[in-house]
Amino acid sequence: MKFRKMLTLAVAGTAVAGTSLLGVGMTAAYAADQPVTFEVAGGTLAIAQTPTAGTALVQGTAVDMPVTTVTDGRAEFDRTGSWVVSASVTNLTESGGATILADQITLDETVGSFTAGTGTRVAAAAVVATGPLVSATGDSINSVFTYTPTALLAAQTLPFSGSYAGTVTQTVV
Amino acid sequence: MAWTTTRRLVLVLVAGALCAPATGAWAQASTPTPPPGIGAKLLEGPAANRDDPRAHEYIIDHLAPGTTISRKVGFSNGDDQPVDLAFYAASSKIIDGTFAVDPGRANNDLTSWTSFSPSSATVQPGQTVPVTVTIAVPADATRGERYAAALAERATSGDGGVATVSRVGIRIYLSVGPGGAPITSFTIDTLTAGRDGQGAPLVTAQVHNTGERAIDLSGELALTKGPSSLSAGPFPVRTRSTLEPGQSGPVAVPLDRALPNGPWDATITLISGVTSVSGTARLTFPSDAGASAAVAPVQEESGSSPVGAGALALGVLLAALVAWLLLRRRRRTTSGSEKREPVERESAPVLPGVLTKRSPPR
Repeated sequence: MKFRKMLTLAVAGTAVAGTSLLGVGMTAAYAADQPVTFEVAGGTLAIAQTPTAGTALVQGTAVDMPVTTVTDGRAEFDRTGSWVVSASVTNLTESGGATILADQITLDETVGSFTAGTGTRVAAAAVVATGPLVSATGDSINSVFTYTPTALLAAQTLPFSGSYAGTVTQTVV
Repeated sequence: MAWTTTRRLVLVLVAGALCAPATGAWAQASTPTPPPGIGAKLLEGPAANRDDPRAHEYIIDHLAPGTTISRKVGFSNGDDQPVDLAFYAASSKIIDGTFAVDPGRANNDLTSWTSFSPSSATVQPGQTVPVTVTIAVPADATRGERYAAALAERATSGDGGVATVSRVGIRIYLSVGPGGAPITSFTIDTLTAGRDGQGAPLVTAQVHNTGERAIDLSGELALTKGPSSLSAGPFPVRTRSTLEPGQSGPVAVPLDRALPNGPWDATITLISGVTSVSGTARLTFPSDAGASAAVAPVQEESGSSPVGAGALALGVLLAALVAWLLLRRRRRTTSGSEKREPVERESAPVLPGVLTKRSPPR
């Protein structure tokens, strides 16, 4: 009887483990056909820029764009918060129809820093027209990183003098 | 007796089934005051990937052609004025180890399959608006992984100069194909000890994504068996590199400049989701800026996949079934021999407990 009890308990234990693991497998299979979701308890990633009127670019001079702040509240669940800001600029156009191509403009960031929390910033290369501008990893929840992007218009002979308009876009993910 | 045991097993199986992870929604998280500016927060992920840290930040999934999924994303306004937001998907690429969103409303396959409800909203100060992101993969979609971002865009005035626009979003990594999810796999090809321009030591791992999914790498480095048996670390991987399938790239771990040159046994453990790879190599830091020779590390990989878990579960269940059948067969055999040869059983040298219990009282 002792052996039988042991064997029965072994079978029972194996069955419990097997059934539980099967539950995992069934969950995965079910999720594949009919996705079942969980609510994420993580924080928010945000970007803010100081309100600024349109910025006038000066040929050959790096001009400050609005101060930008990235706040990352996602550094929980055994992970670090990591984000990337991509920047892009459109062609600049003048009311008379003249155009300055976007590839004449270089976007860069002044050296940014964490103003709350800690983390590591990746030294980003200046980008022409479009590309990753700055990325960082926060070591703490609600880390805040502040920087000032600049826009440099290559020195050139403009087809028409005047007021050129365009858009600089910063995207954080 | 057989009926009693069967009932016990049924109870055990029911208990085991109850031990299976619940797939329902988690408790509603409280909504704190959103940070300044416009914010994005993933509100739900696939239950099957709950243990994957990446699934708590990004929309990550593997879908068969013809499948449609929906995910909720919260977009917030942390400023003191209402803000008008437009919601849309923009194509993305992995460039130089980073996930970069393309300019404007750039499209790819994934963006054309993605829709938002609502597609725009005026968000009041301190509020978060839930937006449903629906991805409908067409039946004729080709196999492969696509990248995009679910974005909220806020435009600001230009007044004739260069206007600034900010966007915030959630990355989307979507794998498409029949069957289970493709494997996530990577190798650490080399480890290199070096010093940067300021003289600080660093260890650089050259990583190759050998799987079929993009990887976001984090992890840590430990130094052991150093001079005078010193150990140091673990030092966290400070920045997360992203590599798409087939890509190779470096992961650098900056260290304290007080560390002796070595030699050290350097073990770096890199993690993407639930996949982990460790590599160990004997390294010596150079005295000046530059790098020593790259060393191929000894590697160890661990991780799990839904396919692997399913196979394991099936294997364990089959083992339980076989054990149960063997038990039943043994009991029947034993019962039969009890009637025929009671004396021989009592003298058997093996399994005395069974025989003692079944012997008639003396």
